[in-house]
Amino acid sequence: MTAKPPLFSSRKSSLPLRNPQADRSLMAMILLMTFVILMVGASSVYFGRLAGGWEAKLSEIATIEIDDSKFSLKLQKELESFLDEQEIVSSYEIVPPQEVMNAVSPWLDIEGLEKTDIPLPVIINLSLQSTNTLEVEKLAFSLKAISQDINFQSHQNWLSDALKWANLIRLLSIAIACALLAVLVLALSLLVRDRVVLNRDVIDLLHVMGATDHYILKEFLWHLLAVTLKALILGIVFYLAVSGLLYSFLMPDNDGTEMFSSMFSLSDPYILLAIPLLVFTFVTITVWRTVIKAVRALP
Amino acid sequence: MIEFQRVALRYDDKSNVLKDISFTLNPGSFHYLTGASGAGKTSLIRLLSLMQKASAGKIQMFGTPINYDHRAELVPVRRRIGLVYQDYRLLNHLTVYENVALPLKVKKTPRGQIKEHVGELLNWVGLGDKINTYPRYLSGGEQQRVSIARAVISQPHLLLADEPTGNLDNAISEKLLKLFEQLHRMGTTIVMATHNPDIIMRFPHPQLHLEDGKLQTRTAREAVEKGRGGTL
Repeated sequence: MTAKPPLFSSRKSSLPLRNPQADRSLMAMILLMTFVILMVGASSVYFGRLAGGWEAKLSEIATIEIDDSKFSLKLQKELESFLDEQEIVSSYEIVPPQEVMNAVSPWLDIEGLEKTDIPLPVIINLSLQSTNTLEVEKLAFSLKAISQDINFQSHQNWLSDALKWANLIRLLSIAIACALLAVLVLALSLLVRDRVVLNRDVIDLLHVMGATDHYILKEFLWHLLAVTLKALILGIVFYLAVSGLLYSFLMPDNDGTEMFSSMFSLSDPYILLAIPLLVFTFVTITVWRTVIKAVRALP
Repeated sequence: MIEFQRVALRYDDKSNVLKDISFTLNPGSFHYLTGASGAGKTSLIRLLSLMQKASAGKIQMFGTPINYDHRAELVPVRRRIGLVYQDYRLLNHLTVYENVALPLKVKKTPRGQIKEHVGELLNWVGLGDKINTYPRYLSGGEQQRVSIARAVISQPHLLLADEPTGNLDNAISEKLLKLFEQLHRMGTTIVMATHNPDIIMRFPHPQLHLEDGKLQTRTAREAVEKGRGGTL
């Protein structure tokens, strides 16, 4: 009597590719790479957003600063009538002395500071309609013409420096991510080539049975992509856990909701999707190219 | 028909393993492949199974000229060849059923047909009750029968056997030879490498004999006479 044949499992590879030790190493490598690339990618996005925020908030703001001793009612009226006439100035506001005091006292570490204790300048905040450098410079020049004691600050100089640094950090992050991907591709192709060599006899056997190169490729892809998928999921979980811990360590006063939202503002959902997808694509292409190249070298 | 014309094989170390080999195998023929150790029997089997590229000469299998640069053209030719190894080459991570089913799986045969054929074939080789067993739990003779079942499952036109009885005792070897005889009667072309004169005398067939990389052909009678003399 014949025993009932088992259903042929499509998940059981024709090649003996299951090697728990090698699979764990591969998984650890992809997990760590995914985690580091996610961290680098998230910081790149964070710096991009920070720079964008600075640019949006500060580029249309300017400040006039006048020494208190040189400020007079006459100068105030002269300034007001000048600013009213300027198209580039959408609005302006003389900052009340107490607000200037409040803004300065934490920096001086003195509580209950009085106006008479320390000479503070008069500050006028301007909202500009245009960030055109020529127009802003023209405004600065005209203000100097009214009084040499007027100190006009458009924030554009330091903002441009800050943006340069932020962009440099972003470029560095992208370069690091690319280097890590290159390392992953190199390590993976060596590992796959090793597995092809290790399974040379079985591959020969499959070829003799009439297996195509693509059949053998599919066997490798099924196995290695399953390992990759597990590693990617673990990499994302690890990344979320570490960024959560980092955030709670750096900002312990925030409650859970804030922590969660901040984590996602630091690492947008699209980063969590795009980077693992990128790693998965790189792994697929690397396995594909390496297996086909190695198998075609066989007779 | 299988035709070798002035085929030579040279490995990277430049030694000529096979020199100027020419022969024709007619459909349904049975040949022994003999020769001393290192004479090139395994190399010739590798050439016949298209696992090895010839260094020179022309090979034609089932009317198709063999060109290794056109890999896709080799696939249908390979699917008409079955190969039995001395060391069985069973895949230990697969069951008996899965090992035997492999050539059909590779050809994308529907599961229903696979089940039917594998069941029939395992009964034919007397292993119907070992269907879910892993090869490491089988004896040498049983493993070799699984290997034969795997080689013939896709009904090959050419069955190659590289010293299939090399690791088996005489009684089991005779059983295997009877299986080969049955396949031969069904019209399969068989080439069996052996160094066992008893088998050649017991089951007489023409002989392809390799000596110093060159091939001699002998009729069944000549082969038996040589065997009686205790030589091949």
